[in-house]
Amino acid sequence: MKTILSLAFAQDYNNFDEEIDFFGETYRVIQYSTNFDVELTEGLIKKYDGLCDVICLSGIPQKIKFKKGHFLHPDTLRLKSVARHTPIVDGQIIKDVYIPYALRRFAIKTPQFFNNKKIGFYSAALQISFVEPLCEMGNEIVMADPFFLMKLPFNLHSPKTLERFIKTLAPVLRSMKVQKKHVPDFDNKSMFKNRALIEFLSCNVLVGNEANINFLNLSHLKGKSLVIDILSPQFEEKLRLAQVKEVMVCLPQLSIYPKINYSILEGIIQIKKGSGVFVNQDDVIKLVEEIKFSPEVKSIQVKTDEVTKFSFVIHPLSKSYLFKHPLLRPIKKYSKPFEKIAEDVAAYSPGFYYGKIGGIVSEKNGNKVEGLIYTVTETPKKLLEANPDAIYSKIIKLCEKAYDAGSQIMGLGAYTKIVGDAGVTIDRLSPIPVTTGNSLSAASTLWAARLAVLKLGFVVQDESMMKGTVMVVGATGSIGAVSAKILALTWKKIIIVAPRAYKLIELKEEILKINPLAKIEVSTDADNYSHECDLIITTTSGAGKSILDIMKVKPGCVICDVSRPFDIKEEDAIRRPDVLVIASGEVTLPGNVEFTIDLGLEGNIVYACLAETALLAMEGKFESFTLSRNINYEKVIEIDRLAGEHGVRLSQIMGHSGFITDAEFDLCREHAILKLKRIAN
Amino acid sequence: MNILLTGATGFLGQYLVKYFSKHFSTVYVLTRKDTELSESQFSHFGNVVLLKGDITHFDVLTIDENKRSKILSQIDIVVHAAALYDLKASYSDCFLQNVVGTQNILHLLKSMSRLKAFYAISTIAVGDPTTYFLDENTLPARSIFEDSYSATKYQAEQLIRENLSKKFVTRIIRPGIIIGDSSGSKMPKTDGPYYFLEAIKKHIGLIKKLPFIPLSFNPKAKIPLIPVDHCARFIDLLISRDKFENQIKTYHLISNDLPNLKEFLADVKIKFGLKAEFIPFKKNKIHDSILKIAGIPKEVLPFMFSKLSYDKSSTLEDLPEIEESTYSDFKKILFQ
Repeated sequence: MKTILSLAFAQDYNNFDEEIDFFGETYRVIQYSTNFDVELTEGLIKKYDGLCDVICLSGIPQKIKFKKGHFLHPDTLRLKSVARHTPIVDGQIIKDVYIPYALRRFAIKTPQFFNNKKIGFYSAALQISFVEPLCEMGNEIVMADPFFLMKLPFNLHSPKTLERFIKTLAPVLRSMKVQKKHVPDFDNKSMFKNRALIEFLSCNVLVGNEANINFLNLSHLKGKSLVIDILSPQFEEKLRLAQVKEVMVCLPQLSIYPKINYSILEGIIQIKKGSGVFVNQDDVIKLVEEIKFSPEVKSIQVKTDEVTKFSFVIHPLSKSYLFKHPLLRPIKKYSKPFEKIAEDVAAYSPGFYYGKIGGIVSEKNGNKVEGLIYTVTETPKKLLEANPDAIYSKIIKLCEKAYDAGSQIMGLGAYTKIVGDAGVTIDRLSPIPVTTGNSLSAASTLWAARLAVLKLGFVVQDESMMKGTVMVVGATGSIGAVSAKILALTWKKIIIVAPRAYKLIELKEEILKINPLAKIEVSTDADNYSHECDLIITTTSGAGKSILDIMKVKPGCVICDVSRPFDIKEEDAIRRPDVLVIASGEVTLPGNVEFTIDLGLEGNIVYACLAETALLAMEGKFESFTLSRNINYEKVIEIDRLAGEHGVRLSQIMGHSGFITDAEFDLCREHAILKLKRIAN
Repeated sequence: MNILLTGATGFLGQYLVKYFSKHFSTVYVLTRKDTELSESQFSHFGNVVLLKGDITHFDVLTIDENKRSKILSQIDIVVHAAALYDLKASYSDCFLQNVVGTQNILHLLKSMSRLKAFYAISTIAVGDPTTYFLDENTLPARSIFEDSYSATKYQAEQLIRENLSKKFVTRIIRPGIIIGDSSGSKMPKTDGPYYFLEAIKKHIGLIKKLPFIPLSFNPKAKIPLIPVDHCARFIDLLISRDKFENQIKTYHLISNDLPNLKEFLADVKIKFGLKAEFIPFKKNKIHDSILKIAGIPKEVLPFMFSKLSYDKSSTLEDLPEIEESTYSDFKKILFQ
């Protein structure tokens, strides 16, 4: 067995001696924490030089590379040149190669983490591999090097000034010993605060490595985001106590080997390479490719009574809604002639905070959630007319406001999610994740359709299977495909209709993959099969073109019209009183929900897209769940499960004009029975 | 039953060998060099076997692999008494012997198939002298140490507590300041209260002239003492009574009715025939330098200001004999 001696220079009590399996080989890793003691570290290296296979130093100041030249602390040089027989590694090569790669990858994948946030480095010089990729993103940068290294009252703001600073002070830095007591207190509670510290602590994202932060007083990290190279379980616990908001870990895959750090990893590569040859960048690239390392965000949640906040953007649904604003309410009676002008004028106003929804309590984990409702001033007409960029910037400003107010996710309501690229751009530029809420909208519509069918009572339900036939018109579209896949799981027979046959065949294959037992018919014309269907979902982009002859539909059928504008016109629907046309399902939130505002719905009913945002907040899943116009089958299934767990329930079925009452159901059923009798005769 | 003892040539170790050789079939003793000197030291016991090894070596035993595994599979009990106890020793030396040594022993335990119990000799100095109570069952959170010895012994005990095994039980023994044989033989090296007595002896002429003796100390600080022969006997008793049940137990081996500094100094006065009173002062720089002139290392200071009292509940439970070891009985050996 190969023996690895790890010397943790910047740790105090982390000694161990363990056998670690790493990619099929067992290594004996012996670690000693030398607590900034150069003599001790040197003594241990000398003592075990030649007695182990590799010596891994961690926590020593690393080489600071610039475009021209570099700075290396003499202690580092001294320690690295003590051994005569055993190779010494310090993880620098892995950091040089992997960290910039990981950060860039992460920033592209999760832009909210850095968007519009001030980034603070404890010491950019000691984390030089983090500097370049983070500076490239164009955020405001604060490098606290002068304060961290020498308690000087100013900060640096660009890599150039950092280079100049280190070069100028190199002789001083060289003569300084690496010691714990040189590090200033980051929780300066005195009256005369250091200017540099005040600026540093105003950053939202702090960048450090475990070795640097470990011995600081961590209370200044409360509510901050942290970027860190590696996270050991002990340190995670410390961060939890300090109430850190979230941590981005560059190499989370190593947490399954909680004892391994960059330096030990490099040591393992060194052992694999054999003695005589040193690890180079190519080896690291190979390793990264092989193991598929990637960074990850860990949200460090503290179980407290604190309320989780989410935000939601709405807009006035019509011109007359503008007069619901408290300032305009007195003249509402006389508003008619002013509506047009009010609509134009309002569009110039920025978005604002409208009110909140409180008292939402999850049934699953008891998390308390509160919704902050923001509004833009455009009516649907204005939203569609306007330049998308103008709307984006309005909504992004609201996202920033919401972020400042402590909310952790933003939902786009009604037409605000239709503008431009349906949330993608807003999400990229917002400081918090953004969701359109379409997944739950789709799910709740399917709930509504199922409930309507059951209420009419023409289809028998056997366990969870519906013994009837369902048709999806426009099945190859985004919502259509998801609906078809979900309905194929619970209905006996499904007919998928769309204008392009080849797409239908592809969809049929996809459905069969999910449910091999599904009975599927394919057609390009809805009217061929509409006489045998109990439920028809229409989700086309026909824009008012007739896609279904309602007169051919089976009596007692439910038509669920998901398209906007509607596929089934209201006047068509009136021609068939024995057919029920529904538009969507709205939901209620769990808990004693209190509204300070009027959302245009009754009681504690809310829009499904708002409920999705609230659900994500209850689950603590702060991610851009649904974006763009496409929705995803897995996401719909997931949000459906979350809704069930947290207690978001279907409350009302919406028709073309408002809620459908039980009386309307009864009426429709009577008509249908009459008509069926007539046909039978 | 076979036992492996580390630190057998040490102060406590010599006494332990005596007791163990009476009760165990084989006593394996770890020595750094199997020189004739150490052989002659143990030859009269008959059942003591010397093993060449070094606790700072990763594999501890530097003997032939076959022999090594054969011996390791025969050991029932390990007593780890090797440590560097010197308040003036450098941190590196202490670290190497106390932390590295303990970690290597812990690793060695993993290859002992028959092992029933691991007895680790820690120290009462792991307690934080600024707190009031040292509990037997826990290791107090502590980060400030005045001397390398307690800092490294603290880390060693932490390692032992982190590496409990299900295969054998762990016993942590925390003896107090070990003083000479209660039967009267001399203390081999200056240490603990002896520093004090030596200093007074050296400057007795001057001290006698003083109207009072100003000294920075806490008169209520307890001096946790135990004579070396008592300590060895108690450890032997604990091992013989061990039912190997609880996974971990900690014992505080300190004598009964311990003196506090005031009482101790009263005894000093009687011994040297001093008339002047010792006047306690707060800790200050001048006194630190006076102590330096007197030849008392400043590492002794924390013991002079200790507020600690020591939990002895599980010790009393398993070892009622500890009551028999009383200060009044053995104080004569300090003041010979």
